[in-house]
Amino acid sequence: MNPQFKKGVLEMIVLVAVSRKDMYGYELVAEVSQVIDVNEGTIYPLLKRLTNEHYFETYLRESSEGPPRKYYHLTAAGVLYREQLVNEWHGFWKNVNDFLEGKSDE
Amino acid sequence: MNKTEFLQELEKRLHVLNEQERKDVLEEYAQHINLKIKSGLSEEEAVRVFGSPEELAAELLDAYRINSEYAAEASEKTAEQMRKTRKENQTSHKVREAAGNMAKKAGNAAESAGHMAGTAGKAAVGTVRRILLGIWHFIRRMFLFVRDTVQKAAGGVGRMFGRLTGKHSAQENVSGQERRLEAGRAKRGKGRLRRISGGLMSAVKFCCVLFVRAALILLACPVILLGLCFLFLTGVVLVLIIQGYPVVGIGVGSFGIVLAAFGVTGLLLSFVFKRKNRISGNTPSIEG
Repeated sequence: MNPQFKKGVLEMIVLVAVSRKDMYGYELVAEVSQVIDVNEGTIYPLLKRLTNEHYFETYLRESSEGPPRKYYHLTAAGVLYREQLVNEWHGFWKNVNDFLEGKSDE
Repeated sequence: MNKTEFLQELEKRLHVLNEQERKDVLEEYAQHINLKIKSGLSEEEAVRVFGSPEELAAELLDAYRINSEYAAEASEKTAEQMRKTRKENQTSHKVREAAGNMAKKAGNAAESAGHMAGTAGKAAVGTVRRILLGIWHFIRRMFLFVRDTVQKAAGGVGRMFGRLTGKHSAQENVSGQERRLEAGRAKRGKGRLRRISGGLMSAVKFCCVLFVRAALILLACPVILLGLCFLFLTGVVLVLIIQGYPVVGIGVGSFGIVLAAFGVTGLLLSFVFKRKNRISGNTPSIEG
């Protein structure tokens, strides 16, 4: 799979995943891996960046299976940014798809 | 590479971060590795998913917009001496603290400036109020002068009226007593006229009073609304400040506007209520 494709949508997928449910790192990696192939080396720095830019906020929640886990939660700014990315994706996807469909008509 | 080695390598390269942040990051990754091991991977495999510690550190520092080359050089030096490491932590701590203190001082300065502006605003309001009171006194004096003149004129008319109807001597030389009597009769004669003119004057005055009071209250309303709007804004900005957004200046400014708005309202309303007292105090003297 073209790594450029993955890189482009990774941020959006992460934001959408967290907006559906607050998640901790391990859970999020598993969730995103169902959509596209990612590795922890990419996801964690991305989470750190999004947190530093105030799109995420984090909190600790006790877990029965070990030390407390750091959960990620989407802030209001994060919601706005997610919306922006999703809209851009829809527009982008439509243009590319229309172009491809147009080509196959010939 | 096993877990401990990986985490140590990572920590070395993250010395530029402060202790709490570094600790958070390492704990999170340790947890992730443990969960991976629990799900069946070996320690080696679990560590490998992160990639190399150099790359991971570089990516992480990028999130803080830190130059990873700088970080690498720094961590090389500190890796050898523990004391140097602590000093660097303290420096970045101090730098961060100093930056935080400067920001706090700036915030305090802005706050005290805002307070001063508020007090200056109140003092200005006080001076404005004094000026307005002076103008009001002047107007009153003018009004009283006008009223007295009108009454004197009415008195003059009444006297003429009295002369035409009442008994008096047409001679120029009238004794002082007669004159006084005349003056007394003239006064009584003009009494009715005076009462009418007095009643008219007080009616006019009442209307003026009502009009001015209504105007002031009307003027005070938008100012109150403005004050409330900015009070709401101050609240919102306060929440944002607590969340960590850099909007302290806006908060101070809007709070200052709130103070000014309520100050102006108080000024305007004080005229309304003060006037009420004055009138009740003056009414007897007008009639008397």
